[in-house]
Amino acid sequence: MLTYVARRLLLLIPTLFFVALITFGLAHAAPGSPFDKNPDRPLPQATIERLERLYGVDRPVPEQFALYLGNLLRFDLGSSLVKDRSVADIIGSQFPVSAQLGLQALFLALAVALPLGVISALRQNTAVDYGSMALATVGTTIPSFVIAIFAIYVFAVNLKLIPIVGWGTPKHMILPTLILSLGAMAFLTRITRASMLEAIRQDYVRTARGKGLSEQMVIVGHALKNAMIPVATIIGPATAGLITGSFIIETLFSVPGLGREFVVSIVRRDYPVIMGVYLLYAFLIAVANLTVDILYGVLDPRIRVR
Amino acid sequence: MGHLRSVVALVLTGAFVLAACQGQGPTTTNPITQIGEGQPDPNGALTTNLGSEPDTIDPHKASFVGEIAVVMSVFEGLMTLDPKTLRPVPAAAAKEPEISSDQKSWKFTLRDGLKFSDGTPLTARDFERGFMRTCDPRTAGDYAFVLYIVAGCEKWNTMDVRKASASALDAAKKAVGINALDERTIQFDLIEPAAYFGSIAYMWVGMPVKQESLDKGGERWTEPATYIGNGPFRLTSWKHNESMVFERNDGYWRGAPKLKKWTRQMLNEGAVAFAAYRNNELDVLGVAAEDLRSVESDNELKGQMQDVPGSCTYYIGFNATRPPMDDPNVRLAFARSFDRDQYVKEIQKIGAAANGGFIPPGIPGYDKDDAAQRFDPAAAKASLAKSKYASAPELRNVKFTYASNARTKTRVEWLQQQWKQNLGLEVVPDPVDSTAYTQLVKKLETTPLMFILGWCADFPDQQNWLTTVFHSTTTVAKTGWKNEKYDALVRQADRESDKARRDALYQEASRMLSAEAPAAWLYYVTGKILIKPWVKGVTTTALDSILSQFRLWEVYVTKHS
Amino acid sequence: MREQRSLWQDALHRLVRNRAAMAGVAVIVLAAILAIFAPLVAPYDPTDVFTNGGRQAPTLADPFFGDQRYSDPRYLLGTDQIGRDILSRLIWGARVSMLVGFVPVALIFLVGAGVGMLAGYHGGWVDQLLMRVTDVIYAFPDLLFLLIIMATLRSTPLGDLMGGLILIFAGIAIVNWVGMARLVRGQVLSLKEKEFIEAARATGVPARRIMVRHLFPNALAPVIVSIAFGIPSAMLGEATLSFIGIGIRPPTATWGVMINEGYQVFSSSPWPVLLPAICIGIVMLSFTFLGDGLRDALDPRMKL
Repeated sequence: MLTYVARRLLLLIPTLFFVALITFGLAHAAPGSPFDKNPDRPLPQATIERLERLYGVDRPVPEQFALYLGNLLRFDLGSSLVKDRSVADIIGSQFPVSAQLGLQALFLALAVALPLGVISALRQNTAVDYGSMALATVGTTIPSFVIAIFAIYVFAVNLKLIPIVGWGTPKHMILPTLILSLGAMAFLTRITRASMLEAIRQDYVRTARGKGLSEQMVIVGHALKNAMIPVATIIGPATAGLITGSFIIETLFSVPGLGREFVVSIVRRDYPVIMGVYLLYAFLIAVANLTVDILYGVLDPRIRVR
Repeated sequence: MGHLRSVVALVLTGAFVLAACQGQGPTTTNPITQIGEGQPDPNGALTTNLGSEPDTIDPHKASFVGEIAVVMSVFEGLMTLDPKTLRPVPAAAAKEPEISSDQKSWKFTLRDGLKFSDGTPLTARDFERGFMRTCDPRTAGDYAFVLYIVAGCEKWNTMDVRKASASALDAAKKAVGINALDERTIQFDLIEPAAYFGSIAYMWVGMPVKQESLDKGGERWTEPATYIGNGPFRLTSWKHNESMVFERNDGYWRGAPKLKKWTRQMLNEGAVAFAAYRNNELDVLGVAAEDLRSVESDNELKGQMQDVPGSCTYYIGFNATRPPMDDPNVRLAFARSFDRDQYVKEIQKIGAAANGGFIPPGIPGYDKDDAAQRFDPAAAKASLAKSKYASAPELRNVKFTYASNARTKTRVEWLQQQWKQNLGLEVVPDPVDSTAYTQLVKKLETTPLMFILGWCADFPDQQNWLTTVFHSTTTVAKTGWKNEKYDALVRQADRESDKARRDALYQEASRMLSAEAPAAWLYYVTGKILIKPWVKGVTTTALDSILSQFRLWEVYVTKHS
Repeated sequence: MREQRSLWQDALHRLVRNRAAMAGVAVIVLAAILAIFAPLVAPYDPTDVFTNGGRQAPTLADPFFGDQRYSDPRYLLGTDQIGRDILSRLIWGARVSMLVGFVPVALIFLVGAGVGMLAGYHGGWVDQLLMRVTDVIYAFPDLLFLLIIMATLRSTPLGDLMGGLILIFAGIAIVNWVGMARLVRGQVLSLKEKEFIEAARATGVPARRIMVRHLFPNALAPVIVSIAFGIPSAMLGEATLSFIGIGIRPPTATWGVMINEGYQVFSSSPWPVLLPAICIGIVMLSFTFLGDGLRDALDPRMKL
């Protein structure tokens, strides 16, 4: 087991290298200079070229990439070309916000999806089941930004229940967290329900019932535990997905997170920020994917028996 | 099973629709009671929107409106501008500068007892440090070019920091004509007479800075702890991407400002900002053209809307080196054959018709009687007839290139229709990607035959418009137009020290410019803002990057619940 | 051979009896017809601007809500904030949205299934290579990868082709093909060892024939389901990117672009946002029902 994990971790390095290579290449393939930032006041070409020389952006792309990798090995992520801050600074102040938003959304999603999924499985084909499946369908088909727009309109503008501006207090955080969690909530409900249904039908549950235990204990003792395995394994990727995929919500609700920052940096060709954020996200996702395999190995009794 | 699912989903959607349509009619904001009408609240707090997070608030690197807004609240320069005339008047300086007889040396004397907001004394050396920092090639600020009129600044600023030797850089630095003669006097040596230098002395490029701030803060000196200035407000908190909070500087030399606290939010979604204003979470808001209809249909909002002047002119540029635009008759014909008033009314909605010259109203040099380009289809046709291209094929299907977006498309198509109607000429709209467009208009070889661009004032003086933009050595607008008489005229005006004579020379040049029409003036930018009724003491000017920029200390709010 | 035919017939029977799925099919077919015949069906050109009419309310909604002052019977669903007819834009938008749904998924299928089948059948270094490549691509956050491709390449000549459509087709395909490849590979691996394949190999049937006539039809079931869910996912991707402004270029109307433009005025007039959002929702819902139906029909044990 340990060797497997170690090998996967080592494989992370070439993976991240290629991620960096592709991202760097794409970012530099775009025309336009990061220094031509003010569309109302275009700088003369000579000034732009001078700035590019100053920041080393005029060098050939492969050379820039090599330099970047060198700095990376020394844990130096560089400075933003557009803002007056270092990349580490930007990530350090914005990432915790995205992380908080993502984790809150995850907890909310689990808190609703798990009980809902289990109950739906137990009461299959009843009103509760239909209701939760309908909600799950809506959660995955209507784009989250559409729901967000209407939520802002209804709750903030019309009903004036929550403030529009700001971040930090529960009042500010409830709506973005809720909307972000909808997709995961829907997905997790379906998975929970499906794996619960699967677990109930397993042979060993039948055997346990045959032994004469009461229905309750059968469910709690066996089915639930095994039903949670598929769910537990995808928590990693789900969390990573929530943290890295929140840029739309952040933009709409003016949440000062990393996702919004990232979109802006792409449009403005701020190469160091693009690279820094992207590598961070890729690392998170790779680690999350790794946890899936590890957890499967640890939790699934059938595999352990191997 | 599928039945019920789809029904539930539709019902949910329907619920949203109903809820959304609640707000269909005119909506009003919360009714607010005003206590003690007109009395400033000594603990008054104002909340405005800064837009997106500023890239930098370092005064010697600032270039965007939002960045300049922060700098001008926390710092104050040697001079400031009179809100009515936009001419420079002393601020940190005790009196008007002393100018030498050859017009090339300017000496400023500071007031007594000036202090930074932390109580430490402010001296001429702090100003010297600030100006030098702008010229420093390592700072790489966008507005350094404004100081190129000072001896040695351009040479130092354009050196390649990586290649030049330390001694060469040092020598260039010493040769710059900015010197603090003592604690209270600072002298600037210019490369030639320049009457507009007083206007430059108000700008953010000349803000003083403490050595201690730079030393202690290093790269992060712009964080609140070390961002110490001498202006009416102090920056007390900066939550990145979220908000900035300013509080009054009790030691400000004009006396403590009336406002105690000023919060600036960072909302870059216009729709969200508008909703926030309605929710009383913002006290002031710029009105976007999209929201104009909603504001005008709501009586309360309509009453809170005000006009503000702007400092930009948008124009249709011509490439004067390529046929048929190399003939001034053709250019003038195009310039006189569309109705600017109708344009503003139908298409632009927020803006003013450019029926004067290049310089907009509110900026010194505005010439409302400059009629050279006024709408006159008959005169336009006559111009065209005089041209050597009168019936030439080059006149057919002239391409009008623009950055592709829905708004500009509408404008271009309207103009296309006007030219067809009034000149009988077919113009072909040529949309290109906006990044590509920015690249095209930078070089003369790639500049389109017809294009749209705007110019905004860096400082309020004719030099910044007539010389900077249209002198044949311009680095800004690539019309390729060259007129030796015009060049001589504006350069003479640049060097002239007598104000009346200077204005006259510039006006002559400006009229020549309109008549030669290397560009057709389209509209002057103006704006509309919404202000809550409890915000008072506001003085707006054409150059405001922040509400009441030149009378920040006078703004106050009355008590309201 | 008889075994396969009855599998498909059986599945078709089950699908037809699933009413939600059939409703979905009906909607999709309607949308496709509107999309194909857009120039004939739409009352106006989607980029025509009516300068005196910004933000009319839909005439149809008049009796219930809406300011009578602002609606004009010429524009059935009202106009957007610049003055373009919403109904026409929705119909033309259907065209792009349908294309964005089908074309990339077709590409994903061709490339992904092809590669997956090769990797699964041949094994060895082809398989290893595929696994490593998918590892790299899996490490990219989906939507953000698409975002970066679109944002960086849309200003290049590549992004100019067909108003940005080619780029978004390519982008969606590049980001998502690995999922299909892995799925097909997995199917092939599990089927490879089945008896009838052994039999075919033993009797000397060439490898390509084995793949096409034996492996492929059996691997198809989950692939079909994946396609059915891939289409709305592609549409959502385009809508999301267009909403931020990094998707299709104006003046092409897509539902995502309409939501982006309508968002700016939604606090005073919800129609420019609401109508395209409803369209996206309904079409995606239809594909989801169809996908669920297909999954139930093709493998009744896989009830999710």
